[in-house]
Amino acid sequence: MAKMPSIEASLAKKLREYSLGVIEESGWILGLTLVAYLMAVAATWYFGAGGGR
Amino acid sequence: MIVRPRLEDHFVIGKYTGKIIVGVGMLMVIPALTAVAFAEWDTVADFVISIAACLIFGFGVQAFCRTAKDLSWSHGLVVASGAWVWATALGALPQYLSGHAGSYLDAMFDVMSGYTTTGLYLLQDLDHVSMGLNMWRHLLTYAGGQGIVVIALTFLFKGTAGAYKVYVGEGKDERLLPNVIQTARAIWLVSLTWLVLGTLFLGIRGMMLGQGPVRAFFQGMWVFMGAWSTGGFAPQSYNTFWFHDVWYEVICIVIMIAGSFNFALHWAMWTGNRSEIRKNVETISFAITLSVLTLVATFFLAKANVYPDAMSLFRKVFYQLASGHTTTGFSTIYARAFVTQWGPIGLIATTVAMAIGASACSTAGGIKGIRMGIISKAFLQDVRRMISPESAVIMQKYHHIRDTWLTDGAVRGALTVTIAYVTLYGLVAVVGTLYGYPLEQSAFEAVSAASNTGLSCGVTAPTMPALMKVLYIFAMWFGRLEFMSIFALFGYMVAVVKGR
Repeated sequence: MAKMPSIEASLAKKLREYSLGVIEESGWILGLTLVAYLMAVAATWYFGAGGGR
Repeated sequence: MIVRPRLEDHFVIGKYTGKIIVGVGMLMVIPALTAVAFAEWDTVADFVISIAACLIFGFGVQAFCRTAKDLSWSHGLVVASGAWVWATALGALPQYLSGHAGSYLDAMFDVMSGYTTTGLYLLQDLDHVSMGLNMWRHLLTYAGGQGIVVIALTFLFKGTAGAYKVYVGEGKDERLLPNVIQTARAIWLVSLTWLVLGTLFLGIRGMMLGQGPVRAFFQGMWVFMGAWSTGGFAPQSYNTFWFHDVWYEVICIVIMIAGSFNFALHWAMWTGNRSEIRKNVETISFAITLSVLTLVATFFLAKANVYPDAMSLFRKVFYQLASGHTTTGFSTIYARAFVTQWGPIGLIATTVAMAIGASACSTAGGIKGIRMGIISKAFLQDVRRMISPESAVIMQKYHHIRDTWLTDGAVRGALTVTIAYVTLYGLVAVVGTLYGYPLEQSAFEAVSAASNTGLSCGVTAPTMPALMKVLYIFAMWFGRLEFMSIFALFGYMVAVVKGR
């Protein structure tokens, strides 16, 4: 008969899956913000810092 | 005709309010034990007096208001909003007795700021506050983030019949599980998981930065509580700027964003539905507005040459905006730098981020992503309707845990609360300008208080006019409970006076 996993082991597995899931799946938010940041830096380079081109 | 509440109604409200205040007294045991552990005997005495006051009030009211009647919807709303006032009045005792608050009003300001996860503070000499009082400040914000009522539901309420009504009154309306007490416990399961992980990471990083293990552990836990509850309290007057460490900031950003997510979203992730985070209308709304505001603020700050290099610029802009948007209130710049360095555009971008806020049924405040999502979808629906043939039936869906058809009722509800928030922001800002503060600074601070964020550009100080302190306390309270339960409380008071 297959051995049942202990409560501690299944809770630890659940915790790991959950916390990694939140961090991995919310990475796209940071990615989108980085794109926005790069666009702003590019726009600043184009228009020039401290005033218009 | 307004019906005057009967004695039984007062008793029901008194009984449940008493239970919640007993909960506040029991919560004070943790900082009291912390003070004992660090031999801070003056602080121990402050907490013993405060616990006694809460228990005498709580049990006294329960003994006086004995009734078998259960809560109705209006009772639930009145209990939820009224309990916050009593919990603030009694919860301010340790702050006042510590001598760090200039007046009882200042102490109440700090406690309301803590419960509502705002983070503005008027305590003086914050860097020398005792360990016990620091534990109380951060525990307030951690407990307030989950909801005072959620705590009571978890530990003190036996029956479930009336419990959901109080729970809704606190601005949370998601049922993660069929039973509301199980829902409250699920919220705690998620929060305690994060408490362990967040304290561990921040504590280890603190030790790597040279803090002793005990100090690193406690400061890690307190900063975690400030970040997860989107409260923004920190044990130092320089807030998280004190650490001057990019990795500390990265950990804080992860915790702030996770704390600002809807508990229903956390529960979906907990039960294995990983894709929910990518599809949910609230996270999409949050990501879009955060990106747009980052673009705007970065562009203008880069043009103004405020920071020496691109990395510093991104680090400062993203941290302040993520903190503002999640309504946390952590900062890594001086309060006055918002005015002197960031200028009007930076100030406005941060104000907009705070005004929108994060997710509903989370620890965060503000208008909330789901309302922004619903209003945007309604706008799109109207545009599609205009360019489609007259006979076409245009339907629109939004995804929050499940796909839901957009109805006029949902749009009306979202718009009503949005208008209420904007009105509150406007009214509080106007009063600030009447006291002579410049409009953009007054608006920044008003939105920060009413959206329960806690970023400050220097307006909030012990020397500010007492009426503004009172107004900010009301703004924090209104913003946290999302109006309806407070209107129910005022309605109840009117019914007591004018009812027949």
